[in-house]
Amino acid sequence: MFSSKRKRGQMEVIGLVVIVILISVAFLFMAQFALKESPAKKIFTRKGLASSALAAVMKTTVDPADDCGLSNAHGALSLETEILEDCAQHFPISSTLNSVYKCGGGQHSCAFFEETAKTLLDDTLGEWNKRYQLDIEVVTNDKPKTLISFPSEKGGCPENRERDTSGTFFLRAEPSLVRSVLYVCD
Amino acid sequence: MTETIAIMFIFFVLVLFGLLFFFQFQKASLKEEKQELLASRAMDTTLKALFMPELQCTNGLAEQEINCFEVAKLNNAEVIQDSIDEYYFDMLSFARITIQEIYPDEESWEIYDKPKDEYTQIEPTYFVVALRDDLSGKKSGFEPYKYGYMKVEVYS
Amino acid sequence: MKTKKAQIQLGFNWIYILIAGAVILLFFVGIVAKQKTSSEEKLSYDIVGVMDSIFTGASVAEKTKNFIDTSGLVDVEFYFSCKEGLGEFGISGQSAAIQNAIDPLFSPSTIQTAEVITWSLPYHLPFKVVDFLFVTSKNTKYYLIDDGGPFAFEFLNATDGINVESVNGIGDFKPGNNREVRIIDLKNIISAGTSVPDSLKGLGDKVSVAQLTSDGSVIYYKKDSDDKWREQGSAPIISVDGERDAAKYAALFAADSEQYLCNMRKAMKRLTYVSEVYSGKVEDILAYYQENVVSVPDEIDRTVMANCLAKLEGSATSSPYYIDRAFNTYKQNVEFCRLALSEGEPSQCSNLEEEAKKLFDLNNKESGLQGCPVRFY
Repeated sequence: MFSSKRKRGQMEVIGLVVIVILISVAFLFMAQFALKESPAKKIFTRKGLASSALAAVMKTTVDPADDCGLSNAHGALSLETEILEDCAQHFPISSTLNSVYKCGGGQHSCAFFEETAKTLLDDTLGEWNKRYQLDIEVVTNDKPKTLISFPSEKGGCPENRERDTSGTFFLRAEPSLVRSVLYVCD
Repeated sequence: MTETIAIMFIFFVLVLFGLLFFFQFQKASLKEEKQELLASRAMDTTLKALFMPELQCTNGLAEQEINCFEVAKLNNAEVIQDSIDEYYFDMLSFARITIQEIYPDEESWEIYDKPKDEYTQIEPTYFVVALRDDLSGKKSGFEPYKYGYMKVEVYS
Repeated sequence: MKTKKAQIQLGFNWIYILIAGAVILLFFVGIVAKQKTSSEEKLSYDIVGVMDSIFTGASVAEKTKNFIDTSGLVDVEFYFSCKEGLGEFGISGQSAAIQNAIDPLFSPSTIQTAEVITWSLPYHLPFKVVDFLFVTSKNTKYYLIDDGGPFAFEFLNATDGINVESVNGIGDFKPGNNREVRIIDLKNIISAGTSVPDSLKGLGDKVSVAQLTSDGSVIYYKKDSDDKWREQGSAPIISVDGERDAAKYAALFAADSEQYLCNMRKAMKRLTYVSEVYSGKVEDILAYYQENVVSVPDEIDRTVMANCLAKLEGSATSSPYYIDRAFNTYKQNVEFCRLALSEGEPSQCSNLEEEAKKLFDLNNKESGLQGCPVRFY
């Protein structure tokens, strides 16, 4: 009787060992997925997107239908070299400091730039479920001043979020310098 | 004797479970590798399309403009679609490449389309591009740029 | 009796255990060995796949040098070959290889190194055709026999970061730990039958010469068994000259004339399609000027338009205009050159160079479209 009890005990221990082994193997199996890193493609396209998106926004010329009231010698107004420069030179917006160009129904350059850039970025990055943050500052001898800054509809890309940058775009807007950065995140 | 049989039975059960897990792991690993390969192919195809001389903006002796396509070239890029089987398939494989203008108008160009007969997945990649329309201006130095994007879909 | 039976049984048990153990061990050793071979093959495919992606990225990053750390692959020898317009690169001794009929790649025949260097230059004829990718390594040494001319100066500046050294004559070579040596002879002092310098004799077939001639060709020399230079082949450099002439650099980085001409064949094939796009664009540009010469409101602009249109139309009053004829002749020569290269007759491409130069002048010179609102490239 004593020996049969001992054998039953052994069988139960073996059963417990089997269960422990099975659970360990299952955890190892699941762990390898948890430790997976971001695929290279995701990082590449987000970085490239930020850079190409900001470059394209800056290069875009204003639709003649938006009638800015005063065309330059070339007959076309670039969002960066004309509109943004005009915005920086006539900032902050006030009733006494109106911009040279008044596009889209008499809007100040800053308001027109912001509205147009937001539409362009929302129609591309926003549509592809990317969040973004566009920050444009004016750099003078004093502290830099925020000229234009807006996030996407879904929210911006704060520093604590994994984000990619377009790199800094500089524009000379005498007497100051304009600095633009676009952040893109998921 | 009974214990020996029990031990042998448990041993083979463990081996069986081990093999099952191994094959499941292999299956998951292969699926993941397939995804990675598809992502890598999508990246390569996007890069190649972005830098095609058939579409890229040129500026005389100056360097090519990156992330920029010429509208005049897009309007004359049917040679790409016409020569898929003899040339461009080796470069771009099973994919569809479309360029969509967003501002000011909404014109689009499908420059490459080679679908796979029975595909299991389509991986789209989007890239914002500037579209330079040299032939819409009337003065010297006029370079109107439109805003758009390129969509590259690879089939697997 | 019973004690003896037990003793014999004990002996047999041990033999049985030994045999069973050996069989089990052999079984697992066999599995491990098979897995090792399969893993190595899989690894070589992975390596080749990753390198292919790197080369794709490197070729579009024009005028940029990439330094790829391959210190984990120092035992791996990569080979690069090109035959009949089809390039191939892979790992020597392994089946892993990638073929490419599209992208021209110029490199030594084999590379085994801790650092692979890639560099890309756009090939223009006269507009951009394709990017040429140059692949080399930090243990491939390039000796430039400097003739003091502008190209030598340009080459030394352009290849900063690559293992290039300028020398005055053929006595100055010190290969050191370099695996391969390429002598770029701008002074034309090396010829067939002359002796290979003593310092290079130990390199076997890993020493070669690329000699640029005054008639715009490149001649390759290799060391023969008598330690003398033997002419390996020659090829014309098909280009419109100018700074950072990709075809010239390609000739200097290519392993031999076969690789050079094979990759030029790829470039010509690409040019047949690129020129079709430009052909259509040129028609649109012609229509643009014809329309604007009448409709532009400003008189000065109308004069500009008229001048530009005159350059494109030439003396013709109706189609085909000068630009139509020039472009058609150009496209015919592209096709002819492509066929000539496939037949091994690269010298027949000289007409294409002339036509390309005409288009270059038309687009960029003051006598052409310089200053015009729209040029064709």
